[in-house]
Amino acid sequence: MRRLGVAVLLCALVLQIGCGSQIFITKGSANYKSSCVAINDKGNYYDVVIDYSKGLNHKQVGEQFAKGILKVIPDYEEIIDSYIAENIPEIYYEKSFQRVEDIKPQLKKEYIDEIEGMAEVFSGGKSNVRMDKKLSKDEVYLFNLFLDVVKGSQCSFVSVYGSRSSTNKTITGRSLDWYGGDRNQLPRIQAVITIKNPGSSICSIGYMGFLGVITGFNDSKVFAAIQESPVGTPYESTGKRSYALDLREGLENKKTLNEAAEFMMDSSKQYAANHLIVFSDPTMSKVLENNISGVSCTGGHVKRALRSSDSKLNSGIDWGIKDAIACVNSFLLYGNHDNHTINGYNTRRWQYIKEQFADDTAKTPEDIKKLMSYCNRSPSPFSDTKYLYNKATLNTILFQPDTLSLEVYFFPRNTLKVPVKPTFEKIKVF
Amino acid sequence: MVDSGISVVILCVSVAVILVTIFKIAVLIVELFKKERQFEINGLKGCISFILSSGLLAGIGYCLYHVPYILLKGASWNMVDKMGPGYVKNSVIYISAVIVVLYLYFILTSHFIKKRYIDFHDNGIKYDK
Repeated sequence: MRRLGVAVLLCALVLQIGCGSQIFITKGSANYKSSCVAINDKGNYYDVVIDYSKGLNHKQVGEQFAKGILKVIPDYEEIIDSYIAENIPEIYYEKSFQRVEDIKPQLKKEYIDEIEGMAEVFSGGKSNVRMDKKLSKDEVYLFNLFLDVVKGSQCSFVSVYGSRSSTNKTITGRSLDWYGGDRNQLPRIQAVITIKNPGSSICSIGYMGFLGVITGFNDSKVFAAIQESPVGTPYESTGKRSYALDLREGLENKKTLNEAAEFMMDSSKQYAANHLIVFSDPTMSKVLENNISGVSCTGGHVKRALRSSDSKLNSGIDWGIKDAIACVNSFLLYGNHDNHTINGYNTRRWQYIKEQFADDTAKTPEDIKKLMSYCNRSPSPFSDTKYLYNKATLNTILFQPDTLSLEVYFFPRNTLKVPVKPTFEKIKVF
Repeated sequence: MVDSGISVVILCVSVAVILVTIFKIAVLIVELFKKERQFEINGLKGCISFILSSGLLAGIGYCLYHVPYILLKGASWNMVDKMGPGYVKNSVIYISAVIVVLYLYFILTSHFIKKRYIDFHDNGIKYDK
């Protein structure tokens, strides 16, 4: 009977799934300050200010940023290295660097200098070794080009403005749904990064060492965020650009929503991945559908175009809600590839969002926050739920461009357990 | 919890198999208390059989543990838990429970066998399992 008991226990041990939700965190300094980079640990995220008005070049800034990262997160290299390993199986590891090499020539020189400045501080040098707890130069590039080379993020976006907003100004909610890592790697490095350039500033809600913009806004009150929209066509990276780094350039240099959108849908900029970019300014919101490849529903060509609340949509999709717009992970514009109606992950969330507008009333910031953070009894896996808050939600943002009012829920840093009710923090910007 | 057709089928079949097997185990335990069964190790053959079957069970457990890695392009259980689909985790749990219960029944019936009886009148041996 004893041997039998041992055999059963062995079985149970082999099958144990995700035991232990607490994460051990290597403690670093609470803050770092150099001539152009300041980092403060705010408990659940890092507040970073990068100031280009101090006269340092981009390479020097990259170096100082990396030194600061290692001071506050001593095991940063291990975190990123392990995250890369979890997302890229061994057989694809070397191939992923080829994709990086394809995209690198199209990157803006200043961003290359920043990335290489950071890479010089990390200990991996030029040797790419998977799971060696070090970051090589190529792995730093790989992390910064993750969305272009590895996989994108699944997200949700809802925005009201004009008559649909209780303030008559834009109120925007946006969730980032992404796998945070077996050891909570992404929540451990989540950051609000303010970049002060001469003449403009941008704020990026992202990750330490990730220089592109996943979600961000500038001091001209233009908000933008990226969302994946895969169509299933073969991947091709030759001659392609990075949409996260281009979005950063757009926010740094453009003053209006339309200018930033035009910058991102410029046909001379070709990207490896189909994607969406959601935009908000104080008076309206729109969605840029960068449908680069795929099959048009109408027999023509897919296109890169802006969708607004009254745009004509593909057959089988309806919206019809004035002064409000939403976005999941699909193209909706008439004539674009239909990756919406065939995909339950998208149709469930879309239907849920529409139902929240059935009462035809103006929405307050609290209404949008509730819409973004409600999950019934407890959060479900991303692909199983209709709610915008789910187990994969790494952050949820409530942003009002007119007043630059920012509230963010960040996934807890020190546990894998998903909060039933997300807690938002008010963050002062600029 | 149950969110796909495959998951429902696996759940129904698993519950049926587990219930039947638990009933059979209960009958075996009753027979044990009535002293209708006795423990027999079957010597070296029995030991080898037990070791090999345990090894096989561990191997099956190992394969089931790596289902996300094999079927979902290198994913982990944590990734499946967060991103879904939820029915993968549930289905593996149901299948694991069936395997454990069946293995338990196999071990019990292998080592707790019904007593032999000798019919003196026939000078034969009847052996019941």
